[in-house]
Amino acid sequence: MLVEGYHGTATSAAKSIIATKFNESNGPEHWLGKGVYFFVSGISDPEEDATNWAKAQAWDNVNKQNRYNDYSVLRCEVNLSDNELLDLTIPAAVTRFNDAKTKLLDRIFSKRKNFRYVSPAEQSCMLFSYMVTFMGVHAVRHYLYIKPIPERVLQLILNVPNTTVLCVSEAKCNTSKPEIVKEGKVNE
Amino acid sequence: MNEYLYQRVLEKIASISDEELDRSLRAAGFEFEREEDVFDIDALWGAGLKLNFEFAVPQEVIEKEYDIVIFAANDDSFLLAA
Repeated sequence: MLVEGYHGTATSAAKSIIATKFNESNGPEHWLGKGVYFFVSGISDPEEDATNWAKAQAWDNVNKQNRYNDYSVLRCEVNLSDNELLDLTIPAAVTRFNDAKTKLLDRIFSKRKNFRYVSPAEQSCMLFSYMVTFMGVHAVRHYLYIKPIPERVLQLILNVPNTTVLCVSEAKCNTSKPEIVKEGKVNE
Repeated sequence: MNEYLYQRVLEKIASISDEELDRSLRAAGFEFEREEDVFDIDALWGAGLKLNFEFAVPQEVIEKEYDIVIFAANDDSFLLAA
C-alpha cells in the first residue's frame, strides 16, 4: 500500500531531509508516540495541513519570535503493508484496538499498581509507542485535532479532529524520495 | 487494526511472561514504584479521619525515611516532604 504523505517544516530542515532522511519526532507528548509524522488524505487537505503546521511551528513562544522565516512542504509516498499499519480511521479497527488496549492494561496493572505519574499527554504518547511496539506494527493512521493558528492565538481549544495523520517508526519509514511541493514565508 | 493483527496481539497478551512484560514496559519508559517505597495512602487517609482531619505524620514514615508522602483529602492534594 502506498500512502501519499505531506510534511511541513523549515526550508533548511526540508533540504536536510531530502539530503539524508526523515527523522522521528520523539518529544514526550507526541500524539501517536515516536515516529515520523505525515499529514495524509482523509478529513482535510493534507498539503494545507502541512502548510499550517510549518507556519505554526515556526513560532517560539518563549522568545516571542519565529525560529525560521521560510517553510517548505515535502511530499512523498510511504510504503506500508496492511499488517504494518494500525489504521484507526476505520471504526472496526478502533473497536478492536480499544478491546486489545483494555486487555493489555488489565494484564499490566493486575500486578503493577504504582505507575509513576506523568502528564496525560505524555501517558498517551508512551502508551501509543508501547502498544505499537507490542503489536508489532510500524505505523498508525488516525484523525487528530491539531490546534490551528487562530485557535493558538486566541488560546482556544475545540477538540474535534481536523486532520488525518500517519505516524511511521523511523526504522521502517520506507518512502519515495521526498520533493518540495510548496515553499513560502511564515508571515505571508 | 485488521483481524490478523487483532488475533496476534490477543495471543501475545495471553502468552507473554511477567518478566518479559516488565522488560518491555521499562524499555518503553514506564516506571513503577517498588512495593517497599510506597506508603499505603488508604491507611494514611484512615489515620487522618481518626484524627478528625488533623493529619499527622505516622511513625512509619519517619522511621523508613520516605522521600514524599501524598496526603489526599477530597478534591485537594497536599505534598509533604518527609
